[in-house]
Parts: sequence; structure tokens; C-alpha cells
Amino acid sequence: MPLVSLKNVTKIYANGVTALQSLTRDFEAGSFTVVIGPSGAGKSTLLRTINGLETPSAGEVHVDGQPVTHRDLRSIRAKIGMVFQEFNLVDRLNVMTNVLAGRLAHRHWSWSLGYLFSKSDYEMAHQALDRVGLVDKAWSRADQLSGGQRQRVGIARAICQQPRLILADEPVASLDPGSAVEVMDLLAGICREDGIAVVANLHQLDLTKRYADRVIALRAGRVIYDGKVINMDDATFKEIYESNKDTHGKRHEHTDLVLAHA
Amino acid sequence: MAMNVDFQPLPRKPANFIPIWLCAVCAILYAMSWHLSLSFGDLVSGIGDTGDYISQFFHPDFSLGHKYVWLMIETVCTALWGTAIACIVALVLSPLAASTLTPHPLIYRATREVLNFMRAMPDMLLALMLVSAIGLGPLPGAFALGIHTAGFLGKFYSELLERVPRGRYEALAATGAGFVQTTMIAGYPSILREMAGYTFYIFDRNIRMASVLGLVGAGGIGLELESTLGFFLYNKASAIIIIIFATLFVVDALSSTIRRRLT
Repeated sequence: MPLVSLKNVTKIYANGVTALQSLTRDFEAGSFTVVIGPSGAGKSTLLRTINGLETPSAGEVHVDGQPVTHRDLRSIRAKIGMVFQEFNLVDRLNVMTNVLAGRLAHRHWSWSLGYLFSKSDYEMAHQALDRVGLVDKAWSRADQLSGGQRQRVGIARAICQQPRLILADEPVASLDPGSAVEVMDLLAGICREDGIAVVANLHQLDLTKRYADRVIALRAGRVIYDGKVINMDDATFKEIYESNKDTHGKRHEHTDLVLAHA
Repeated sequence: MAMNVDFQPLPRKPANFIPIWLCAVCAILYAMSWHLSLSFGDLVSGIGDTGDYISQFFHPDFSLGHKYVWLMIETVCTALWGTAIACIVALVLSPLAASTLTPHPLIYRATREVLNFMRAMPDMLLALMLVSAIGLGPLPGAFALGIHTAGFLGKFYSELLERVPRGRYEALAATGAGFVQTTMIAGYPSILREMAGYTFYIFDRNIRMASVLGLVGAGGIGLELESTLGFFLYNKASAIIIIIFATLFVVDALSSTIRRRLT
């Protein structure tokens, strides 16, 4: 059974924009998937429907065999870490508390009134910080860190959830090339060592080639390529980002071909 | 010289209505003063009397100073309790009234209306009602101030919570955190500094208000001020006003120090 499965998922926003069109895909544990495509192709929406930040207009999403519905959102989200382009840390809290936020799904709400966490939560957060190499910054305020460090705190927060899946929404888009490689190395390491699935949105061909086990290309809410990164050359990548409407039909044939290989 | 020939002509200048609006405002103000039969002539002819009146304030009589200071402390305590009640009520209600945090749009609307209602109830009226309900003293004053200013603080806090980048709430929601957890971890810490500023403003306002709540029997220095003025004891009234002013000065200095430290 796949870890994540999307069946005929369609998302139409209130303003009439169709972000996903009847998308059906599975994601396996232990695999690093990179989603590429021009802005507005539906990459973020794809990620956000998996953890229920967006509700599909039609179709079903299952994570770990559980349907993603409003009722079970807490237990499903507990299994899914998410990393954001803008890090989304709480600036005025220290790094430790930001990482401990990954344990909230397992604690009663009343604990948060006193910012209380259990000893085991602190141990997990400590471990997570050790993994991203920021133990010495544990008591620094989040806004005193550099961009790369802040994204590593974001990843530590995700690790602290002990997730089955990490969703990374353009995790390196606000980082310099050096920090970007650091962050991608971390994500790839977690994916490999812990055997969890990572789904990341990227714009950079070099990083995609270096880290992806599987590439999914989206355009206008449809999958136009799905397969191993090895089968992609620069020309294919360029074509994905070209705004030529005519390619839709052609690429579908090609996609089917690649799928048969994969 | 012939330079401007090559220029593309400017599009038509948009009409400017500001002078018309200014004239309209002046006309309305004049009409109102006429309707209320406000006479500025009286103001000018009364300057002599006003000056006489004010000059008496320059000789404050502190013979009952210790009593005034004690009453002022009671006034500050009333204001402090009122602000504390307002702060607690606002902390509970504001996340419900913040569009980006609220658990349900209906709760959002309902809480907004509750806050509007609190703001709409004048604290003087509330104090009058509470004095008749629970008796004379600073307690009804504190509750009156608390209920009225909870409406303000609730609105201020909720607007601050709405200005926090939505992504921070989403990041918490994505971990599986609930409404209270998201508010406590991502909401309040993000707005702490601005929250302190508004709360001190309300405290300052409550001290000024508590200074007159005594008029309806709700404790504090107000009753004393009223009776000195009633007996034309301007020297004593002047001493009371100076004490109120000094208190507000200290509170203001304190609030700006604390706000500077909260970065």
C-alpha cells in the first residue's frame, strides 16, 4: 500500500482558478520526489491537499491508509512534517520552543497555556536539533539566526514530529546556493536514513537532478511528466517551463511512455 | 525651445475635489454652530472671567495632600483592576475574533458583535448600574472599566493577531496543533510588544476615567474633585489635578520604558 495516494483530486479555488485537474498519483515511503513546474502550475496546492491545508473540490486523498478528512486531521497531520519557503518560525520564541511545536499534536491543548512540554518532548527536540547541527543555538531567539539556519530549525520542527512524510514547499527558494545544498542534503539524509517519504517543490534543475528519485512535472494542474530524473535532459526541463499550450497533448504521450519505464 | 513639441501630451489631469470637500466641511461646521447657537462673542467677552478662574489654579493648596495621594492610589488600583479584567477578557475573546485564527466564521461574527457591544456601553453608565447593583466603592468602578475597555482591547488584540503572517499559523496547523495551541505558540508571542503598548494606553485611559468615576460613587479621587469644585475651592482642586497629572506622567514613563525593553 502506498504511503500517500491521491485519486482524481481536483482543486478549484473560490476565485475560479483550477489548481489541480483530476490528479491521480501515489507516493511510496523512502522515496524523494521533486515536483517541478512553472509558478501557478499547482505544485503548492498538491502538497497542501496531502496534509489537508487545502480541501480538494473533488477526489480523495489517503495518507497511510487513512482518508484525509476534517475529522481525523490532527492525527494525520501529526504524521506529516511540513517545511516552508518562508520558514514560518515564531520569531520571538527561542529555537527550542519552535522545534517543540512539532510535538503539539501529541499534547493536550491545556499544556500550551503554560508553554509546557514533557521531558520526552525535550529529548526529541534535542535530538532533532542535533541532527540539523543547531544544538548550540537552542536558546537563541529564532530571529537571530541566518536564513539557512532558520530553515534548518524548520526541518528540526518537522523531524520532531517523527513523521512518515515530509512536505517541503520550495524549501530553498529564499536561500543562498550554499545553504540550499545544506538544506537539501538534510532532507535527502532524513529520507534515506529514516525511510520516510519526502515530497519537495523545486525550481532548480541542478538540485532536482542531484536529489530526486522521482520527478513529477506539473503544468496547469496536470501531470505532464512523471518518472526518473535520469530520463530527463535539459531540453525536457526547458520544455516543462515553456509556456507553450500546444505541448499538453504531446507531453501526455511522452508521460505515458516514461511511466511505462518507471 | 521647440523641445516640448516632441512630448507625448499628458493625459487629462484628474479633477481635484479636495477644495470642494473643505468648503463643505466648513459650511457644515458653521451650520452646526448656528444650530447650537454657539456664540464665539461670549467666549471673547468671557476671557477676563476665565483668566480669573484659571489664576486661582496657580496656587495649589496641598494641606490635605496625604488624603489626595491616598485617594489617588485607590484610583490607580481601580484602573489597574479594570485593565486586568479587560486584558483577561480580551485574551480569551480576541483569537475568536481574528479572521485568520477563528475556529468558525460564525464564532468570528458573534465575538466581534460582543466586543462592539462592550465598547458601546459607556463606562459611566456601567458604573452607575453596578453601583446600584453591588454598592458604593471601587469594585463597581473596576468592573465598569473592565467591561468597557475589554471591548477595546479585544478589538486591538484581534487586529494584531490578524496582521501576523498567515504562514505562521499554517505551520502550526500543519503539525496538527489545535486552535488554543496555535494561538498560544504562534499568536501571542508574535504580537507581544504591540499588545503591551495598547494595554498601557488602556491603563492610562482607565486612570483618567477612574479619576471621574467617583462622581457616581464608584470610588477614587473623583468625588473629592467634584466636591472641591462644587465649593469653589479652586486651590484644592488644583492640588488634586496636579496629583492626577503627576500620576499619569509616571505611568507614561513606565509604559515607554517597558515597551522599549520588549523587542
